[in-house]
Formats: sequence, structure tokens, C-alpha cells
Amino acid sequence: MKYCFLVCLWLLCGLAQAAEPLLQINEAWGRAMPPTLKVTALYMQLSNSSAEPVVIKQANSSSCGMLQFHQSFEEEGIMRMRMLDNLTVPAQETLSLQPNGIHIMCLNATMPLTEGSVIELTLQFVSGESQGGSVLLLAPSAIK
Amino acid sequence: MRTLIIILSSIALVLGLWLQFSLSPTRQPAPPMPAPSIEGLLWPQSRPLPAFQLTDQHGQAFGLEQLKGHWSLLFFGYTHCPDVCPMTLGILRAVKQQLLTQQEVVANTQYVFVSVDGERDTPEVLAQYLRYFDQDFIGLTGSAEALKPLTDKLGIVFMQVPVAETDNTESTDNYFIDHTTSIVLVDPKGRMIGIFSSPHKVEDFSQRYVAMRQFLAEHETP
Ligand SMILES: [Cu+2]
Repeated sequence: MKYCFLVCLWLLCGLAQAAEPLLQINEAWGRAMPPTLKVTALYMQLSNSSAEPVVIKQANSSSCGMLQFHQSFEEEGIMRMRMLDNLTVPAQETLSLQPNGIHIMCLNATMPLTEGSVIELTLQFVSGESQGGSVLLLAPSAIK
Repeated sequence: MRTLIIILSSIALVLGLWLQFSLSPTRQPAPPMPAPSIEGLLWPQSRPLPAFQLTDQHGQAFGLEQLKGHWSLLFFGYTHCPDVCPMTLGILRAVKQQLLTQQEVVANTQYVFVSVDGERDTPEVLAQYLRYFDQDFIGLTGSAEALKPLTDKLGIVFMQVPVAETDNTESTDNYFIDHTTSIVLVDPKGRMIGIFSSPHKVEDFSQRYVAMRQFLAEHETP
């Protein structure tokens, strides 16, 4: 019985891996922050090679108490930041998450945001599917 | 015969060019008042800064007197700013490194990060934060009232924006601050003499700063 359970689990894992991910996640990185800070921004290139737009409704990570989608934008010389309800990657396009633009904000971090550490996150799509990704934290002064 | 003609005409050409160069004046006389074409340079206008009283990351008083005698690049932000501010600091760090090869032109430059978040940015927090960027960066903090004379004069605005709650989870960082991201150049007389608007790019910033310093060295009496 126990073996059957393990075999089933293994098969399920295999199936999950075989399923084509909805998005290609490239150049994922985040900013390491000094130890007193519990907040950082995560960046990546999200490519959608399918014929349908992909809508991300939420991101989750055990490393962050809260993850939000944000957009920084300049308005009359002032840099502002606002929350986005979701992220849409149009069909056949790449959504670029980068400094001074759209980013995933990690709030209430549950681990030290040190350089070289990795934040594992899961993107939840409106379709009900989800996809994992790893984000490497670069130096606080990284410019990309 | 044809070779000779080619040789002779080549000699004539070289001679002609040499004559033209040697006869033309070696130096164009500088026009008396050239209009500066360096983007962001305010000269011949300038904006004298008022007295102000802030605290640096070592807990020392810092005011107009500490700006005088130096060329200062002032930029505004706060440590709990995860996106824009570290990017700006990273760019200025790269600018500083790039300018190491032009020390004689940009001598006596101080990089000053002014916090617009006196509530959270104590001198200790600033000191720890700036260590991750550049040991030489100066960090200033103070109450909103203490900042006002400086920011009003420089045209810097900032306002707190609460962080939205999601899933009824409250953030430990309960506000962000929208703020001006322009970088201001203050001359050794304590006057705002240039402004760099965002977006900032390392190469462009370095070039413009060098151009401003070269221009001002030629046109300003110390
Ligand atoms: Cu953000």
C-alpha cells in the first residue's frame, strides 16, 4: 500500500513535469536588501508563445508573507508605484518585469534577503493552472 | 608619364592642405557668452539654497555649510524603497566608478542621499543601508519639517502612499513614498546649478556631469 502511494506520487510528479509550462520565465532576478529590510522587488521576462493571453492572478512564495504586482511609473517628474490586480502576458509576447516598471513585490519577507539566496515562487493563473519559478537575489546595487 | 602626373598632383594636394591648415588660425576665439547646450545645466541661472539642518548617517549635523566647498550630487529616496531607489543608488555607484578615470575634471564630488522618510530612516538605518552601495556616499535624514526648506527650494516633492492590504494580511512596511527622482547638482557656493531628470543612465549621466564640470570650470570664477 505504501509503495503504491509512492509510485502514484512519482507518476503524478512526472505528469506535472511533462505538462508544458504556460510561460517561459527568463532572466529572473531580485534585489538583495540590507538585513533590516523585509521588502524587495523581483524581476523577470515572461514569454507567452501560445495563441491565448495568459493572466497571472497571484504569486505565492514561502519566502514572502505577501506578494503583490506593482508598477512604478513617472508622472510629472514624480516616481509613483501602484498595485496591479493581475499581470497579463499577451499572446506571442513577452512581458518585461524590470526596475522602474512592472515588478513583483515581496513584502514581509520570511527569510533574510541576502545576495545569492533564491526565492521560489509559484505563479497562479486565472485558468486555474500554476507554474513555479526561481528568483536569484543579486547585490543591492545591481543595475540591469 | 602618368605616374609622374599622379605623384606631382599628390604633392600639390598635400602642399595645398598643409597651407590651408597652417594659414588658418590655430584657435577659434571663444564667443563671449556661449549658450550652454548641456541638458540639465542651469547656468547662467542658479538657485542659492537656504540654510537647513539635517543629520548624516554618523549622527553628525549636516547643513548648507557642509555642501559649501564641494560639488554635491543630491538625490532623494528612502531605504524601504525596493524598486526605484536602489536602482538610482546603483547607477550613481557605477557613475562614481566610471569617473575614477576623470578625477581631475570631477574632483571634490560628494554623493548625497537625502531620505524623505525621517520616520523610518534613522542615521543607523541609513549607515547600514549605504554600506551596501558605496562607503563614501553621504546619507542625510530629518523630519519632514527639517527637509522642507531644502526640498521646497529644489522642487522635490514626496508623499506617503499606504501599501494595499491583500488577503487581509497587513504589511510590516505599511507605506511607500512617491517622490521626485531628479538628481540635483549643487556647486561649491551652495547653489543648485544643474538637474538630471530620470530615467538615469550611467553613460549619459557621467558624460553630462563631466561636460557640466568642464563648462563651469571655464566659465565660473572660483
Ligand atoms: Cu513595488
